[in-house]
Amino acid sequence: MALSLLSVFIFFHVFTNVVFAASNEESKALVSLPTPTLPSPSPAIKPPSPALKPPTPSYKPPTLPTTPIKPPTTKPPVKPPTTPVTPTKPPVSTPPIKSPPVQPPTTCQTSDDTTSRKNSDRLRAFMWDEVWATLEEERMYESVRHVLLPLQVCSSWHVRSVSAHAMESSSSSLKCSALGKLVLSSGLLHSSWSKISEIHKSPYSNQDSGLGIKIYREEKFTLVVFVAPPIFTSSSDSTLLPGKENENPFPFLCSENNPSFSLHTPAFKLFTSAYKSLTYLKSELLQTLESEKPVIITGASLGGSVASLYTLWLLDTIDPKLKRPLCITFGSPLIGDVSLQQILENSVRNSCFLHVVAAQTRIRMDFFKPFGTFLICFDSRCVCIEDPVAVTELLNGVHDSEQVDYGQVLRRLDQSMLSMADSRLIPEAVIKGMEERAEMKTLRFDMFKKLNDMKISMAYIEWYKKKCRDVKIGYYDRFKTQLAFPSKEFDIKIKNHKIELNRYWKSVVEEVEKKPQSDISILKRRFLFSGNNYRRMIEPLDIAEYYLEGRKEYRTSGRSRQYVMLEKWFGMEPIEKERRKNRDLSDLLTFDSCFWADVEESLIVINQLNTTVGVRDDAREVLLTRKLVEFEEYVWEMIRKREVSPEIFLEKSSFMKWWKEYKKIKGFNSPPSYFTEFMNTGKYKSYGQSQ
Amino acid sequence: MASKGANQTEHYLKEEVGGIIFFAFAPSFSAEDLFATANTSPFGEIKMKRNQFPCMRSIGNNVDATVNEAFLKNLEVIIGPRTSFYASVQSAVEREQQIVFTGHSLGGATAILATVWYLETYFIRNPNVPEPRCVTFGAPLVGDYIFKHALGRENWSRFFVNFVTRFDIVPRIMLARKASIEKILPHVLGQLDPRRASIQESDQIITEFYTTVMRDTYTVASKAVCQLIGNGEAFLETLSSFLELSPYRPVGTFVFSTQKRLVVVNNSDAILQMLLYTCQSNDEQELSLIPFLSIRDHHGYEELVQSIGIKLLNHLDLHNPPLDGENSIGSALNDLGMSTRGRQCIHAALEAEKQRVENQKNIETKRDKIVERLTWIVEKYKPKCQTHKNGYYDSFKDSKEENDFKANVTRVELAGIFDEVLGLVKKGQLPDGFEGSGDLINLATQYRRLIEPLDISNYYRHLKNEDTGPYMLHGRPSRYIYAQRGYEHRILKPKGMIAEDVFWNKVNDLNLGLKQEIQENLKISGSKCGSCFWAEVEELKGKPYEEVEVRVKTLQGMLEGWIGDGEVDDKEIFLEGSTFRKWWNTLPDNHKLHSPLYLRGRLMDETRAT
Repeated sequence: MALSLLSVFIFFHVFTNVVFAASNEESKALVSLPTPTLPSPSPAIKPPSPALKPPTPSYKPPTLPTTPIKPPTTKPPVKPPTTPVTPTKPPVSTPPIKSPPVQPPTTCQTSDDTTSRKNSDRLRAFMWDEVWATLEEERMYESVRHVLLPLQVCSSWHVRSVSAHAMESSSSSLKCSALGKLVLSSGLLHSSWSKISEIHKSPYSNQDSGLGIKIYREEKFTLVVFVAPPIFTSSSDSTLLPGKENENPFPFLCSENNPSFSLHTPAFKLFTSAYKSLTYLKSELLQTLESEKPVIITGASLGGSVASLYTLWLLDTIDPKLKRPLCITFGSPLIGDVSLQQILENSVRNSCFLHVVAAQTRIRMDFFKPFGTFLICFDSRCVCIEDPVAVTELLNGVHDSEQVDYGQVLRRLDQSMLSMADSRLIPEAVIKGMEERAEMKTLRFDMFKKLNDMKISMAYIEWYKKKCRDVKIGYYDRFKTQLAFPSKEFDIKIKNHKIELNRYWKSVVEEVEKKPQSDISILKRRFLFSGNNYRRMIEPLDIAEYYLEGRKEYRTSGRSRQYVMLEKWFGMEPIEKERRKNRDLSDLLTFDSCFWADVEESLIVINQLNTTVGVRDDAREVLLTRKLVEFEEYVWEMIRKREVSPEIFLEKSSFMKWWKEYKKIKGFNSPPSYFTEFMNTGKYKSYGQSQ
Repeated sequence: MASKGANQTEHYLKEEVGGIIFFAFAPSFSAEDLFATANTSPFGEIKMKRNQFPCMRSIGNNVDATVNEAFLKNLEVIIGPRTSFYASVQSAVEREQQIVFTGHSLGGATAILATVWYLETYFIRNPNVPEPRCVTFGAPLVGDYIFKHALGRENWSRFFVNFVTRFDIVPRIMLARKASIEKILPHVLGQLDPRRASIQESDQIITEFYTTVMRDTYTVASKAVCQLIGNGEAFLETLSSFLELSPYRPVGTFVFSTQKRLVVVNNSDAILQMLLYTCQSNDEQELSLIPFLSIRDHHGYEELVQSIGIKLLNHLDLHNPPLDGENSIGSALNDLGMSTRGRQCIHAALEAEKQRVENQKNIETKRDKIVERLTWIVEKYKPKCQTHKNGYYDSFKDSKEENDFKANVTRVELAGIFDEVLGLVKKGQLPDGFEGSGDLINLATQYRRLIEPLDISNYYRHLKNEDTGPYMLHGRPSRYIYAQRGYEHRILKPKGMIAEDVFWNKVNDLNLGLKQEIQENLKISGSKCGSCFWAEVEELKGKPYEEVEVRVKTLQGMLEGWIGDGEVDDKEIFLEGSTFRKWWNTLPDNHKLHSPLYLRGRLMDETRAT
């Protein structure tokens, strides 16, 4: 039984060269490495048999073995090749352009019927010559052949491209099958089903029409099993849930785009009927999850539907840092409409649902739509599909009332797990559709990738702002005048940066709006902060454009949606930072990004006051003046809180223009305010400087 | 193998043939040599110690490699004082003789770890030490993904060759959960032991064992495929928290053997798939025989060695795609019983590697841009700022000139590139060798030294420390931390040391007082890295001297070394308008007088003069 070190040695010599050499280019040097240490005259012809071992005097054969080394006579000694190895393959320098060899130069191509003798010669050639060179040459030979035999080239290309294509189109099917195998071999389905069937078999089950819940604390995870009475009617009633809190236990699921959705009535009724005990269960499960123990929520048929609802409900309160629970249903009716499907499609919650369905069952999908991942079980194979369209294509149909024993389904799948048969389970057309949709998804806007480009654009605008300040005009006013009379390239560039930034943030907001409300808080903080920065920096430029076009009422009718939403989300985030009171505000961006719109409106009011001098209309004048005073109060509040940029006080700013006019209108007889005093005494000049 | 014949009290056998030293390690067939008794991990695994194996970790993710504890313990016994192994290796090293580590079964696992030990102990420290070789026969898997990744990064994978007969169960054992095989393991190991009686064809326990191991292998391999072809789907992530998956991965080259052929594979992902798919069958009768074959094949290595000359050799790689049924690799995979699905899985593994190479090429195209930007900083920006007598750190902080703005755009652009690289590294989407490239480390180091001061400047310019705390605590971008680790690894590798130890040794040499107190003081100190010099200055600036004495002294203690290494530019920091100089001048006179000479020379005399 035992092998001698010697054979390992021979083995090593033979193999290291082949194997090591092939591993990478660097190993070229390696190939000849052991050679100098060999006493044998020509390593190239050293046969791979202990028989022709070089006479190493230091070697004493069996210090060890129980069996002696096999005598060399058992095998005819391999005759060393009389000719050097090179003739068996074309020389490297001159590729065989005119006479393509019948046989490719390496053993890789050797057909099976070649005699072992030939093989061993070839193998030796292969081993002892520089393998890498051979490989390279083989490729060169290939290309020559391509040039010489266009016909053959064409056909081989054809074959190759077809097979490549076939491969590509099956990468989706490979994924479905691999995921299916993973789910199956994980054993999670078996653990879940065994508990479900345990309850079903117990004499107490299904006696009443209520909902049954049982918790099993296993070693690795906690199982929560929902048991519901069987569905007597194939009910497709639905209950519409509006977004409002008191009528909908799932307000957090509503998104800006989908403010309401409908649920399967029987499941929803069962869910609400057990609301109290479910609330208790929730707190218990949250504790379990916090202790890092994963939770499986499961149920068959209608029980699975309620389990899904319960999981949706539970998910809202789970800290995103914790492990997510997994809901496994067996042959359950779908619970939600197209709105719920859309909401979940954009949420990580979609990943918490695994629906096991036997392929022969048909589910009505005319009103209710699938979400989550589906494990579709064929006879001895299963596939896992996330794409809801493909799921619909595979399972849609008139409800089949035939009861499926999932225990049996799982057993069958289990038995054939280690056998090899791979049959095509999903029709080609369905796979193709999946591929296309997957591709679309990857083409979808990637907000993370472009964030850095946007930072560069912001840096440009920041610099622009600074440069404007140096010539005593705020970037708001500079942008406005430059828009009217563009002169410098820099200003035009800034306009382009602004367009880029607007486009980017518009898309970000659109993406986010698809997500359920409660997911928004999970959005990375840096998005929220950069979004906020963007709003404060760029919205003034949009305002400048707006009023330059002679339009009015920006705040109510001019704002782009991305600003509104970014402001809203930022407001929702509970961040209160501690700032030094005397901090330098020169780089501060005015908190209220609509500040300049108010300045413009006030200027319009002053214009109106000034132009209607002829016909006096006291009531109107009072109204207009009140507007001005309101603006004054608004500005003072911001100055007091140090939330406005000191740039508004720059010489050529619109705000200062307003102040000069306002001062005239107010005249000297009106009582002084904090603001007028602040302005009149010139205190504003030192506003925002660090003390 | 050889060592099999050796009696069990010997751990290894040494033989010298043709000037090459062979060490063959004895296999063991007792359960505690497969799973260490006291180990409670689900796969008997343990982290490698960084000071003993400084290279066996991931630089990007800063995680140490995981290996089987029982195997590691066995290695420790062998390199320990009870055997003459250590002395034998030492003398071979002294004579610059090449060493081959080899072993059958668990002996092969020892051989792998012994090779790693040799590499870490001798090879990295001395360029004259010859490259080792490791040849295993039917060895179990030893280490995890990081183990494999680290060997790839150091370009050491090429030293390892593992021979596997088609059905041999041993290379697959470590993919199973300990809990699922523990009970029947002793019986199976008894059957695997060649000294025992012959095996029976219908042994129920063997069948059970085979099924259990293959089921777990199935889970591991399926998960791996999902990861290879997916793009981080959330469902897979959710599902994964319920799975207990073996961390072990194949390392080096695998040679799968069948009746007629040898199939050579280098790609670890592909090997993993092969371990699963070569052990299947579509033939009912063969399927029922596989459990028996899975034991018998473990004894088939002698035959393998004898027949090596007459077997066909096939390489499985991107040049020989597994899907093309007509090429020779196609027939080789037929011989191995690979199904179409299995081939697709291997194809997916090879494609993923191709993608990694593509990603690397993609990064390399950005190299010129990086170099150009850095050159601008060195040749234009810095000299311009120096003429203003305040250096680029302070100039950037004031941001009054157009160049400061340009530098800011440069900073953001470079951040984008390096963040992208880091993202790929963290997700393992670059070839293992990528991090080992000296060229990349040089570039990243240059980037870190030049641009990190700008990031620090930006941080303190916008007073971000008031919002988020000190730069070192939350503000330091991970791209710099990563670049620092890569650099430290490269310079410390030949010394076999780790950065943490080197830093604390230096601090100890400063004799600043109680060790524990100092460690507490320096917890978030910028003194740990030269490019964070400015962050430390900014943090110390606002604080009373008494409070931060240790930190000030540490900074001063480090500074000279940093200047010497090129971490800190001494042309910058001593300029009149520099934050550092201004701050240093506010320090108590007594401190200044006792400061190192090089500082006094450059800061004090000039101060007096002005």
